[in-house]
Amino acid sequence: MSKNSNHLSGKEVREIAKQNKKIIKCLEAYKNRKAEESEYLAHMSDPNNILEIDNLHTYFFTEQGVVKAVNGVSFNIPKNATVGVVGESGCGKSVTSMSVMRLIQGPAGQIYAGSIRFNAKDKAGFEKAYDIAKIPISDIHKIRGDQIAMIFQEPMTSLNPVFTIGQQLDEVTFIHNPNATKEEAKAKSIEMLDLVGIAIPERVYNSYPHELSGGMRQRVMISMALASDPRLIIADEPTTALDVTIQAQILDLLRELKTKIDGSIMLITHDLGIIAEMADYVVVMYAGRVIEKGTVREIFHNPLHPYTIGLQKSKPTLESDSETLFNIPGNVPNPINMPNYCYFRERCSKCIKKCSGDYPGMIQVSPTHFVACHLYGEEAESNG
Amino acid sequence: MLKYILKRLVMSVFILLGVSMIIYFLIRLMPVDFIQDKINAINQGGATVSEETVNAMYEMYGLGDNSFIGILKGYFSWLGALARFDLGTSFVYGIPVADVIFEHMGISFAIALIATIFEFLIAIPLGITAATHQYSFRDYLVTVLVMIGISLPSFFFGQMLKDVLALKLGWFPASGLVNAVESNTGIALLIDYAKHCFIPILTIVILSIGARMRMTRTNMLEVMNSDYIRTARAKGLKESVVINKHAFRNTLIPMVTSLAGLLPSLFSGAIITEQVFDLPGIGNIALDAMNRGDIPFIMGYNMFLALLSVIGVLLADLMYGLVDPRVKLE
Repeated sequence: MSKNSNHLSGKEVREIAKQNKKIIKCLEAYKNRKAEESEYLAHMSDPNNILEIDNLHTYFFTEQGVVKAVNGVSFNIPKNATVGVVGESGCGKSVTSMSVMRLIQGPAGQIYAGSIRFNAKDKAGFEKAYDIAKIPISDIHKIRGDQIAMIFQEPMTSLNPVFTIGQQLDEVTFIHNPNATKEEAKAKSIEMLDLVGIAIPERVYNSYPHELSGGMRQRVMISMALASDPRLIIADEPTTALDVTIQAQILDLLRELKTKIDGSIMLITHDLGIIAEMADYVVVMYAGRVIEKGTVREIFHNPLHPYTIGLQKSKPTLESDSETLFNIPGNVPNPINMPNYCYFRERCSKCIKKCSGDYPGMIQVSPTHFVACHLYGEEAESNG
Repeated sequence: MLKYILKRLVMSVFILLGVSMIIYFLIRLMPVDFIQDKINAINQGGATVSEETVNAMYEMYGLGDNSFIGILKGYFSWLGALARFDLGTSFVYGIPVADVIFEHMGISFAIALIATIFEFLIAIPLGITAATHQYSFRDYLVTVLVMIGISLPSFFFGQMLKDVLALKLGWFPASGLVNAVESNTGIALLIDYAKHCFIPILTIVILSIGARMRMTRTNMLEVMNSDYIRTARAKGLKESVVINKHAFRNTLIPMVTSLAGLLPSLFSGAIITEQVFDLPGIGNIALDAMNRGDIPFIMGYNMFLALLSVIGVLLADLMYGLVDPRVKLE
């Protein structure tokens, strides 16, 4: 762990590059292969789930070594639910969402192992589960943008500056209905803009992105995501770049839309306030792993993992008299050459003897509440 | 818009005045003396030229006074003639400069235009594939090949192509513009021109692809990593649409910058290539004029290019307004 990864000898660098090249070649070939649909069909373990992420590993093969950005993440998104994914910067929450969309930038970034089962709906309306991690990239548009849509963090740069809002919105309609006429596409686009609360949709339709404010652009992004009637919307920190009043409006909008489209939302954020307000279930991530997951009530009223407890404590409140905010001491460990013990050990105030052992497994404390911490194992009491 | 163009054109006049003054002073200060060379040539023939005649010649050509005031006077008399649309008479050819330029421009322009079209047609797709398959075998192959192209000096590579394609294989004529033996007319003459220009054009294209390909690749890579490309992918667009529509449209913006220099380069002639293949293009003529101190021609030629440069920059700025909706011309 103390090994300084910034200083690698030339020999080590060459060795890493050689290994990376071999693995990347293999994974790229798998990604670009042609495959029959039967090859990537899957079975949902619970038909009430829309998405099941199972032991997902997404790695980045860098010159310094393999960064295990997502290292064995598992969680489910039930139908018509909002699942919040929280964690600090670099904990792998965005990479998880990008993996679901298969938008990880190759060749360095690759889904290494695990499955992402998605409960898709075919044209006849029957449900059909796909394993997104296995779909060849040439077939991904069956799902991406069609059944799963994504709203990004940066509304200021997420729209193409050289096309009008109308051109970019119409495109979505044409992807899903190639036979649509221009007028139909325009009508649908304006309807979508109206749906997200844009006051003069006709004018915005003909505007370029630089003529709109950040909040307006994020609304356009949301309308773009809605235009395909997705079953799942992934919102990756949708309000981070916006000011507080606009944040509240956008969140209201998302909540309203969820009931309208009758779908699920995966909400990625580092703002616990947003989670408390929006989510039904919470997944807490730390250094590429899920450390605790449960209903929003369980996570907020009965946080178990010392990290979750720390997060709750570091939330600013009006009630406390303290002038400084609580912060968890230390930093996230270096993502290269992660050790096989609890990553939070160095920062944890509740360390027990068992913590020097292997990485803790997931412990079920209630039907919906799971935690990965040695404090709650069966033998925890005797060791503590 | 019209107001903007007019304003720019008025500004151009002042730019061109400044440019012409600098060029004129530089030429007058050059250590070449057309009169002295001429007298030396006469002296070699055995005749002697008297001091008086020499001075009279200097006065006749307007090069008598080399002081600052004298040069300034010369400049204003050149400018005065220009105001009457008279570029003066070439010292070397003895005919109006405009006629000399006009006569030799055609061939240089034709070669440059065809070469530029091929350069774009080849370099841009290569740049796009190299960018979309970054660090792959294809990327390295394309990069290495075009780098070889950039690195070859034109006199060497041109000579090599000439040696192989013309002298060894005999597929194309080695130099010149027309076949001196046959007297072709009409379409046969055009075909003859084409045959003579093939190797020069090939040389220019191979040498110039590299820079344009690298530029396209860099721009494309930058655009491909931007957030809106991720959005386009997330929408479910096919990769070909993402690249050819969303990404390529944005790479046009920096490409327009390079168009500013394109206009003068089409007319300036390829000096070295024209030399190697002995083509009567404007580049070859201009080099010769420079060596022999043909002041009116050098002035006329350089001012013509300066004018084209100014127009090229103006056109590029207008193009920005077309390709980038964020640019407003006022």
